[in-house]
Amino acid sequence: MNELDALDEKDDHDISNALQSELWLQLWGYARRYPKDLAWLAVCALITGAMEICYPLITGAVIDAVAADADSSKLWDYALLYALVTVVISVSIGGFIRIGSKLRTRISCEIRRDGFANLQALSFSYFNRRPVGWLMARMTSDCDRLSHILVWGFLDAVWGSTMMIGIIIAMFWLHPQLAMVVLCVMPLLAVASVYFQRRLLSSARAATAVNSRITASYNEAISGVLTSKVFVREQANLDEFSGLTHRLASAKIRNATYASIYLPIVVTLASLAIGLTLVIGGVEVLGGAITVGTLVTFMGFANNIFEPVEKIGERFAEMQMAQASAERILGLINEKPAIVDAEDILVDNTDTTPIRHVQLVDVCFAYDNGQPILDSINVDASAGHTIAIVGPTGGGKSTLVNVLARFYEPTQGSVLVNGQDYRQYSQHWLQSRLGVVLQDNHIFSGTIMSNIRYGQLDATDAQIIEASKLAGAHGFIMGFDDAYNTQAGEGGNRLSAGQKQLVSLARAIVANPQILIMDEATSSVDTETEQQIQKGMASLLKDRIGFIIAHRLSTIRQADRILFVDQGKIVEQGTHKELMIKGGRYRALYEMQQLDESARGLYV
Amino acid sequence: MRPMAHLCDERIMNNDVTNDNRTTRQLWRLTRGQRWWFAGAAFAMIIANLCLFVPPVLGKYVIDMVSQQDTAAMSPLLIAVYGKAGLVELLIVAGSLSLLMTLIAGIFLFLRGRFTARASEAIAEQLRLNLYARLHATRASFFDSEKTGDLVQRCSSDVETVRAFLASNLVDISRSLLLLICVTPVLFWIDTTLALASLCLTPLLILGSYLFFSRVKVLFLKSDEAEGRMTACLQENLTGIRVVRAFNRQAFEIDKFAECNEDFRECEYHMVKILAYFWSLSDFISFSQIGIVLIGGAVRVQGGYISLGDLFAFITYVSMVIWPIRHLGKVLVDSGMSMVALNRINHILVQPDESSGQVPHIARASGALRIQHLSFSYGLQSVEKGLAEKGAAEQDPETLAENMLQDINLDIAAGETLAIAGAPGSGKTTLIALLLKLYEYQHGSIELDGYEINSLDKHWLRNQIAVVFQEPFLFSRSITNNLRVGRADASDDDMQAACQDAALHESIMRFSEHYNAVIGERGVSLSGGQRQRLAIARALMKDTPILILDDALSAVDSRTEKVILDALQSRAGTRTTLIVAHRLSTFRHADRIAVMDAGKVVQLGTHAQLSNQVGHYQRLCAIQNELESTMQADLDTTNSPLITA
Repeated sequence: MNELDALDEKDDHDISNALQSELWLQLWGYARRYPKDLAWLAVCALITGAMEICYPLITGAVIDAVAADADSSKLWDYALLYALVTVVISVSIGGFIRIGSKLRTRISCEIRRDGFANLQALSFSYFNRRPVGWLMARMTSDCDRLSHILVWGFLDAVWGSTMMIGIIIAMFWLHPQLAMVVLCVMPLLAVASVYFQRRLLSSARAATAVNSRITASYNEAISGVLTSKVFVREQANLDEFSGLTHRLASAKIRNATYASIYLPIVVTLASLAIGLTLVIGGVEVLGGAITVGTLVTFMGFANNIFEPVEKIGERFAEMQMAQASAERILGLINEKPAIVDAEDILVDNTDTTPIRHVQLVDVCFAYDNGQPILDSINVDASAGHTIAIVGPTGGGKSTLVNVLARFYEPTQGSVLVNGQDYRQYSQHWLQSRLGVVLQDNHIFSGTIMSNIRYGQLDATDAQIIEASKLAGAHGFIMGFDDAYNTQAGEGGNRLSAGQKQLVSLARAIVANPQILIMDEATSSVDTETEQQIQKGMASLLKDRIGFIIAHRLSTIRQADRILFVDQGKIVEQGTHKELMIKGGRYRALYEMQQLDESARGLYV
Repeated sequence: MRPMAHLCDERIMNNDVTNDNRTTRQLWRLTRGQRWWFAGAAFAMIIANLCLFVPPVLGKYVIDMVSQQDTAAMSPLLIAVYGKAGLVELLIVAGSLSLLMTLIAGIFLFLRGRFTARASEAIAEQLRLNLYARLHATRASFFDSEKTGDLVQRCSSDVETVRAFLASNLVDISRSLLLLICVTPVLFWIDTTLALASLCLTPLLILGSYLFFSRVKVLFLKSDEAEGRMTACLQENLTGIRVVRAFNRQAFEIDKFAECNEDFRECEYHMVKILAYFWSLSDFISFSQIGIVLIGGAVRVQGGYISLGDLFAFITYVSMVIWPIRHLGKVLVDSGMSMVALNRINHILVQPDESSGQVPHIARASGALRIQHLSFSYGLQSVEKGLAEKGAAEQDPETLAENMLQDINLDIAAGETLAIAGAPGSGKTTLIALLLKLYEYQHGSIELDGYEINSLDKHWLRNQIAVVFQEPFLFSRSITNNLRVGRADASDDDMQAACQDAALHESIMRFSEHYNAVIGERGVSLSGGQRQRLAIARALMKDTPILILDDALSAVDSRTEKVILDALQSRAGTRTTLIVAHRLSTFRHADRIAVMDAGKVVQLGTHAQLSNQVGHYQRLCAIQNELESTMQADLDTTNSPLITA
């Protein structure tokens, strides 16, 4: 079972018959922003429904006219009327398609916009739990589906009820007994519609679910093709995949089977109504109670009345099934970011005071599940200070700098910036003063130039080149034919791992940060290049605050202070010298390298 | 799903007639094994439609009968069957007969649906499997020039387009044609003049709708491209969301997305606006056609040429035919697009196999590698192909593409540990890819135990090598299942041993589900160091004579690195090990070191040799020595008793 399944599992068991009104009300709020369009849509639907009722009436009247051998002038009146109705219905159909589409695309665009904006505000922990593919599906297909239901559901509700009510009134006006005959078939159809539409939609959903697994499977197969090749997994992967495709085929055949049962049932029920009308109406005509024209009108009505019942049943079922989509997308929009700016922030974005001092006071951090990551961390750094963080992997080093950057907030304790709790600043104020090189550095598609410029959007080319030189990236960039205009490729895949690190370092440098955070920023870079970078960094960090996570002791020992972090605690801290004298774990780490080296020295 | 996004592909847009013919033939080949189902579906459709023709005829007789109050107007056939019956009795017979016919039609409609679904789904399933297998079988270089999203699209929505063509478009087209063919003679049989009038607007409708949809295809394309851009923008944002947050670029990203989002909305709306005109106009034509029949028919009835019942039959038949025909243009265009989709699918299916060779007579290689005069360029394969096509093969291909590797010579003994050093982009990873036969080299040779690897079976070769890539790919499964990728039948003990050697066991035991913990998409729930170590453990599961670590310890601290390297050494036995690394501590673990620069091996030798040679390695050692002497000085001055490691 993969993560996607787990996320969707809830939905599958959650199809309840009851419609959750507040959910749909919130969605309806998107439609209500356009009252004028909604009103016109309703008018078009009403006219279309009304005009459709006219057709059987005109047909009946024409037949009566010829049956009664009326003069041809009356016939031309009907022709004119028919033409008029046709013009009106054509215009109103065009109108509702146009207005409805306008509304639908607008609504979908707005839901997407709101979702996107909120995604930008949500914190790292939200994304840790949700794969990109899952979020994509919410923002694309779910969005389109809901806007579709909202608009066309509204249209069909107005059009369908107009038509049903109109036909019923017309039938009772023409011949109440015959009307009763036609109507008695309707409940059957309504039941069949709702029943089958639900079956149809749920089997369609099952197929969609397998289908998205298949898409994910292709995705994984393509992204991991080299791994599959070198582990000779081709056949094993294919076997797994063939299980999936087979499930998809059966799910789709099941869906198609329901559809092929449903259609004949509707046709047969309609034919039952027409048959009954034919027999009973025929008898009435024979008895002279109604005219032949009325009989034809009735047969037309018996045929037409099924369409709205069918459509409304379909929409109703659609709404039931889309409830999970609605929940997911609204969940995404309504999700409160774990980190929000306080309403009474003391320092606004225009404040230009540089960060001279940061302090972590008794900082604790735990994930939602209560798993503690950081425990009573105390750090103090002023401008010009570089703090190095060392320790075993998984010890909490990355979390510590993430808390410092306010990507996570401490669950206890506080982070003071220039002496004030950083929650009293806006996130924008703080984060625009940071330069961060993350362990997972993402390179966007586009040129190398535009990637570095991401650090500071109005940076000049000269600034970018300077930053690249500091980051040790200039050399290899100039080696490309297109130099800075070289395309980095999807996710930076045209660059090697080391090159990606250098580009992201340049990106952080060009941001001209007051605090520079480097989380294993040069781990894939050779020692010589790293040495070059270090020299540049020394001058860069002269009046800034630096936090550096690294494994190479050469990088670490020059720091003003070293923190040894293990299991969420600072086990030791001090300058290199202090820690060496102390003779604790830092020294042990140090000695280990030394021991290893001297042992090798003997061997050599 | 974006059923039409594939049209963005320009190469495919220019497909010519011969290509179309080939595609049609291929479509025909695809139906192999399913043709009886299609035949059955066609048969069921014909029966169903014939049955559906009966009720309007019955209606005609009933209306004639009741309007003339005479059983004589009733079908002679009915009278022949039931004898001279009363009016009411005949009415009931007609009513039930029409119900019965619909019921029979219903059963055959059901069969048609079921048969086509079966056949088309079976074909789609086969297509998907072929695509999946082809993606695994083809050369790694294919993926260099392709975008993942585009390939996935070809495998999913293009297959869906072809399936939809087989399942519904094909049926829709034949049904509309069948209806026309069946209804036309009946209409002409009843009344020639009215029949002509009832079909007069039909050609206009078919032609107009076809022309319209061919034109509107461009708008579909535009809208799909806009959607593609929006999706790409979204995908990139979500993948890099941490970088977005780190640089505080939310506003920038929101603007960028808003632009794509709005653009897509406008393109889509523009398209639908045009569609609204079309549906409006085509509805007008269709209703008018029925109107013509109604009024024209009424005039004919007045003139005494046809009966009231005939008029009724005419109206019903025309309504039966006109609506499907109105849709025909769209269906025809959709079908045209399935040809495009099929071409796009073929782009993958025609990719050649990776070259493979013989399985040698030894089950397990000793691990001795000999690389001689090896040169390689990524661009070369495609350049050579391009030249061959242009008939200019005499041109030296090497001048056209920069060499990634140049004249590499390495002799690696079985059981030796060779470390490879070098700046980013110097060709370390490329060399490893060639050893694994992921790319084919153009010049020189690589021999494993004296066998040229070009002549070796690819699976056999890869089974001799365990590799940890620089950016390891983990599957979104449990840790156990990721380890089993290394060896399918691994026991729990084996897995634990491998994880212990990779210094990962303790971290795993800290997860609440231990080895059953699911590691998420590409291993997101693991730290960088944990990902690397899991990849190492996975490689260790595979007991091979050659182990390759491509910068596989970069996110691991030096202490852990030492633990892992020591474990590897004790495990090694006769294992040949290649380690790409940057730390001197790693190099000291190696028997020899190769330093690469700009695609060449510039230095090769033991640590002792290289540190006395002027060059890259010496500079590296100088940096390290400087550090070491400061370290030693640190240790001396701080003078703490040595802690035994």
